[in-house]
Amino acid sequence: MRRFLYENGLSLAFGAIFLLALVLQSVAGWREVIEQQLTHGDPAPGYWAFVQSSQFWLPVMENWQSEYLQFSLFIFLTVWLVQKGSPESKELGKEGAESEKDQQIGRHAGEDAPSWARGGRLRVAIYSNSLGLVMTTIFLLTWTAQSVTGWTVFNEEQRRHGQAAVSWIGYLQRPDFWERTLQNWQSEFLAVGSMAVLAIYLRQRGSPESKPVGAAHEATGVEG
Amino acid sequence: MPRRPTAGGRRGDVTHAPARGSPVRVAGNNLTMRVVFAAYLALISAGIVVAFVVGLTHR
Repeated sequence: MRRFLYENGLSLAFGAIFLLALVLQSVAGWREVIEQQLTHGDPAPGYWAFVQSSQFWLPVMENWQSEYLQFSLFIFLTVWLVQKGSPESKELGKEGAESEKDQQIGRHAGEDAPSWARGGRLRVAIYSNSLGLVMTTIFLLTWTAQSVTGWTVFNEEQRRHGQAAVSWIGYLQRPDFWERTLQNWQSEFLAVGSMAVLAIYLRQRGSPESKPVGAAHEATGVEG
Repeated sequence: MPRRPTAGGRRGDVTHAPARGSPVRVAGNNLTMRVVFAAYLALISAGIVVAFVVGLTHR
């Protein structure tokens, strides 16, 4: 058990603080809804009813989709674009998908290579892009889930104000959908861009997200 | 950030010295890596499914 905790500490720690934050978000969101309902003189939902509502899942999906978009873009753009001096970038001159030898695929695959890296053009092609494909799929699914939960919340507001409900397609053309989407995208783009740029001149000793403390500012694609 | 594999593991675990930028193979049971991989995919999938069900049933 100690070995399991040691070898998987990073993913377990993030998993734990994710669940804690999600529970705290649900409690804070529920209390906010109670305050709003009391202000309007409406009956307040119970906690379990709230966590089974679109009011809770809409902001969850909003944030998930933007995070997966951020990583999907980062995965794909770093194949082709570089940033001199950044540990998040490949070395200058290595832009592109790189050779089979560099990527250890096909006849260059080692004995311990994943079987999908060894043979079959289609299998190698799929496995070569599997990380980006899965992250992009999660982005598209969570963005669609945001639109569906947002549609339900939007129509509930319409009903409250005595206005007609809109179709899902109609909701996709509403400012509400795009404001929720873009407010998350802009912050993710800034965060990932600043991570790539700030790490040119700043260091975090011991972190693989940083260059070694003594590395030159011009050193690119070097990890601590 | 998505990372390329980096050196690591406990003393005695590294089975060969890595070339720069090469993955380091750590001996031992890989089952735990599969467990966390499957757990993360299950967590994400469950969240997406629940959100779709909640939204599509207009709750």
